[in-house]
Amino acid sequence: MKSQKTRNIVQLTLIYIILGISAVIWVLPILWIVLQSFAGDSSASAFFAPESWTASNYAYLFGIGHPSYSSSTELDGYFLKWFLNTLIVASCCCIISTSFVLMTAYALSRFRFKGRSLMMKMNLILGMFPGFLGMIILYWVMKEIFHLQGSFWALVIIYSAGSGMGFFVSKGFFDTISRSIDEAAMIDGASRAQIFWHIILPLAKPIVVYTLLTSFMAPWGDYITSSYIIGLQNREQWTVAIGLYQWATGGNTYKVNYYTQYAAGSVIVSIPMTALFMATQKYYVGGVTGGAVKG
Amino acid sequence: MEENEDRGIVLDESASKTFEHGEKVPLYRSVLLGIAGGLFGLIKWIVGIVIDVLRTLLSIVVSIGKMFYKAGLFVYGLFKDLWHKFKYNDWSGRLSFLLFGASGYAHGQIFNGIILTVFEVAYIVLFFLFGASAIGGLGSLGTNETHQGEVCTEDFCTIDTIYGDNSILVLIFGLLWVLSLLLFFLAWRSSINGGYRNYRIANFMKYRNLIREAEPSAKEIDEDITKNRITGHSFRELKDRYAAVYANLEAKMQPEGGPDAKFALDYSFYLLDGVIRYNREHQETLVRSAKKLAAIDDKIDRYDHGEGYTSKLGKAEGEYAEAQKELDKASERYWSLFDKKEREGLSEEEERAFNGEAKNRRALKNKVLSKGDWLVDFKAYHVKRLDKMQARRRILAAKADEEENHYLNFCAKAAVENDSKYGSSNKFYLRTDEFKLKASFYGSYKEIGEAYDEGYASYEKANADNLSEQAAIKNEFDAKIAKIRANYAEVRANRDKAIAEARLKYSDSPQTIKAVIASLPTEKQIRGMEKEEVDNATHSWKRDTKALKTNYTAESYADYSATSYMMLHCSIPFEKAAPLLKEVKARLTPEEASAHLAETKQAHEDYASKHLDNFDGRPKNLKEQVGSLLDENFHVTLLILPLLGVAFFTIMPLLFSILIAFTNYDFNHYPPGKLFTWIGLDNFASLFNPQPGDVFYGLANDLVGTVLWTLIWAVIATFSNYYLGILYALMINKEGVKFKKFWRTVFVLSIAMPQFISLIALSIILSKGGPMDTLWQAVFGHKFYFLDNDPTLTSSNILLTASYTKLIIILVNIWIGVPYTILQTSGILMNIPKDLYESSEIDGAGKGRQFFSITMPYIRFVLGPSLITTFIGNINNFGVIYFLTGGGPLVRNNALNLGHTDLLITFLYKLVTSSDKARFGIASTIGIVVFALCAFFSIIVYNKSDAVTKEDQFQ
Repeated sequence: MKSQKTRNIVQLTLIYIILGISAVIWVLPILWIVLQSFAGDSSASAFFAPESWTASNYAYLFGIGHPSYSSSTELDGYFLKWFLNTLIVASCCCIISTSFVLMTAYALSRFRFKGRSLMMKMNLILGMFPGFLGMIILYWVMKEIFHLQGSFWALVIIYSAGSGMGFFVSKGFFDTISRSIDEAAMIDGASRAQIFWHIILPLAKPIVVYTLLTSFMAPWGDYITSSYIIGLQNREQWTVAIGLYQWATGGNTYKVNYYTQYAAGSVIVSIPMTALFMATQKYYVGGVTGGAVKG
Repeated sequence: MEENEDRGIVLDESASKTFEHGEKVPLYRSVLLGIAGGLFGLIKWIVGIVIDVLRTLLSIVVSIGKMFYKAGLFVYGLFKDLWHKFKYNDWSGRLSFLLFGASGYAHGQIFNGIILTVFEVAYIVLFFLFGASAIGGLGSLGTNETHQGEVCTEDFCTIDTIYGDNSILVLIFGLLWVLSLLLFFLAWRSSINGGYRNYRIANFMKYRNLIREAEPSAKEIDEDITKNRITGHSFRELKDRYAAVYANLEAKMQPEGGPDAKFALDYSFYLLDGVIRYNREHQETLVRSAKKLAAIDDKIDRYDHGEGYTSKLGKAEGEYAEAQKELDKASERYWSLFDKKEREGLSEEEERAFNGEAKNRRALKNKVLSKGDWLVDFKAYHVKRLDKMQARRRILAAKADEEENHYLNFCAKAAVENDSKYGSSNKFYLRTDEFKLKASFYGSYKEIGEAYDEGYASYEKANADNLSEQAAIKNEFDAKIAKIRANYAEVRANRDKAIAEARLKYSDSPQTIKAVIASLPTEKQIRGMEKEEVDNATHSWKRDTKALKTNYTAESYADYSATSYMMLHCSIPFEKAAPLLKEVKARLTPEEASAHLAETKQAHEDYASKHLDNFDGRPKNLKEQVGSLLDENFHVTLLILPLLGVAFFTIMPLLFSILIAFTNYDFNHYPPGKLFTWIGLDNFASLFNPQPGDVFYGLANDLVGTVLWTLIWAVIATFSNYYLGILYALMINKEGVKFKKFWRTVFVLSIAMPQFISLIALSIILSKGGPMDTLWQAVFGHKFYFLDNDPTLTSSNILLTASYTKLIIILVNIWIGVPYTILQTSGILMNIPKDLYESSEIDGAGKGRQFFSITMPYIRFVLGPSLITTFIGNINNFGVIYFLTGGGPLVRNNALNLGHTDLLITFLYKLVTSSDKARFGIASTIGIVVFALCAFFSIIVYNKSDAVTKEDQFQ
């Protein structure tokens, strides 16, 4: 009995040590970003804590002031514009993607029609192609057919048009809603459209919220597609991701790094994103696990 | 030695490892066994992988063959279908083959007709104006180069750029036109199908009668084939066999001559032909599955009782028994010597013999152990393989069962199709059905009411009984609890009394009092025992009460009985029966019911006399069609936009990029300035077999390295995140660990912020001269670069740098990815049913065993399917590599900027986005390679995961 107890204590101590060290490792980079956002000069990026403290990085984001160590004004005053661009893209995507995803998921969950299994299989196969490959053509399509070259509106189309393919989690959720509810409503004379609107959607509120939030959050973190489609010369049209990446790594192009501005911008972008993620994480877990067990 | 006797059936190795109390298996033995087991496992693993790869290749070949076969069948079926729809059709339906929508005009679907006709005309005109040339342009992808030339207006000429073709637009529009042919084909099919449907709806009753007339003959043939299990005959032979049936049917129909009669006869014979063909095929399928079943039964039997197994088992058992016997003998000698030693001591010689015996006995013990282990392993392996075979047998049996039971003969099928597909548009048919239902309902109104009452009464009684029984159990339970409380009160009193007595008696010796108190149960123990008994009683009370609950109230069960009576005896379908319950509850008198019946019959007669031709049908009008888009065809409405989106913005771009792999589209051939064109398989050749002058010449080994690194990366990244994540989740969720929520939040924080932000931050932190380097230098006093991108690195350093850069990338990926697994696993751990643990505890499983046989399988079951998605995601994982190293350090001097840490996907990105050296053709080729890799691994995993064995476990 006694040895069990000591063993337990040793185990717990070990676990606390491991968790403590890991926690430091996991938090440190985030802490670094926050500290850097208050740093006085960009050369301080060689150390964890800044040598001089200032809030001017945040002021710079809102178009006030200019970094003292840089003479180039190429990137000044864009952040609010980028933020607004991303907000527009994210909001549009959020609405279109969510409706596409829910529509596809409901149709695949409740209807048995010709080509249904083919659609599910195609979805698997398409997922294996590197998605970036399609961008070569989409760039031309946006330029020559939609005349949206270098505009962030092209991103709205690209992000949301193919979003129906992400139906998997929602379909898993719809599958768990009992079909007898549908049947009961049908006996009462409700049409399928009415069932979808008035019965299934209210029941599926968690998954609707989850889909809304994930599709809203996606455009904020995408650099690859957005930079290829918009291009680096159209600064007016950039999203936050392109802007921040250029600030952090654009040493060659702009002769100077905007590390501290990048850090401040990251903090501003991360706070709402983190809050949203924290609020939805239980749906995230439910989506992954629920679909598999009941699938 | 009795510990050894049941070794044959003990499968639990932990129990078999301890031999006598306190005496453990010698260490060297378990080490050796461990090494041997590990080696064996490794060999098995490698062989398994080789077999899997071969099997996958085979299955790919087989499935390609199957695809062709299926395509052939599809085309054949298409032609047969078209011929049938042309033969059995009216003039407007036949015209629909040429003029889209012709049947719509004839059958009142004017709107559909106009849309289809306009589409046809417009398409044909546009096709000849633009489409033909666009498709023709695909051959060369444009011929007019952009060049400087004279541009003349009315007044003067200037030298200016004249824009020629743009290869990429030629490709896009050409392919779009090719795909539009598919659309045209679909419209054609829809015109034909619509025409046929209209014709069948209009002739609904005619077909119904024809099918009814043919049904007895069809049944005759069907029964004969089924009863005699006729297989292996050709269709001709069978047709000859049933010539009499055909003749009878012909005689029965009494042809009056004329085209209509000929048609009727044709159709009836078509039905009979169908019955023969269909049932013959069905019989063959049955025979095939019976054969398969017999084969696997035979295999199981041979495996379980066959020579090979029994002889091997006998040998193993014999060897074990022999070793045991030897050991027994040796032990006997040993113990006799031992006894002697205890009693009178041993002489020197005997002492030596005793030591020898002891050594011999230890050796024999080991032998028995290893023989026993082998026997147990052998049996376990046998059971496992047998299980697998039986699982396969179960699937086959279920399939065969389904084939046998879900058979509907061709004629019956035609009748069902006629009723369901075309009859629902015939109002007369629907109305008649309604009248019949009503009549049948009022006809047996009394019986339905009785069924209702009976159901009500039976459940009323059952529920009342339950209630009284529940009350009795509750009383019993209360009494039991009171008794337990009283018992323990007595125990406590006794204890207090004993202590008081001892205090009085040994007041001079506190030691003795302490000893007395120690011999009595402590207060805590008593409380524990009491609680346990109370808990047990409560548990069994709750269980018994739960068992007494019924699923229905009296009303709901009465509803249920009445409905099921209607469904079973009056053939009223459920959705019609449920609304009729209201009438049942209205309690009509028999007179009222018969009045209703008469009324219904009268209404039926009136309706029938009004529609003497038994026909009140027409195809859906526009309003009904639009309405159906919100009801039974709602999925079309739902799917049309998402599907179009996926088709145009996901599938088409991928198709184009596949095509681009066969062109020389690159920085030298970049439209609109320059044209590119088809170059066949040159890109593939230059990738797989580079010749001098190709861009990949001299890079072949590095490319292989990139592919290998991609695979290794994907494997390590997937599994490190998986297992570490599970480990962390287990640690956080372990009993006794405090601040669970805090730990979880700390980890989740890193995935809550956008990934590129944290990756950029990490790349700066780890970069040359960044904070980590500074820190390292401050602590260890020498320089160390975590991520070294210096292009001036010498070649001896570069490989070392590349290796630890890869290591750091993997560590960073753990930083990024582990929190996802933690999040998921924490959710799963909370969801594992607690009773699984409870029941296993009763079986005597320890914590370790519970972990390996409950927790891990459960996690694997839930997360397993997502592993393959994660794996593919990692093959295509762009962010980590791109943001951390950008692929660096670079491979020697190469024009393509290939780096040592580049994955295929980041390399592809470099090829595409390189500002002055973009190579789209080769990038697409690499994309196809990536797809092939992903598909290959997915198929391996798909083949390996046998859903059957896993499904049983958790459902």
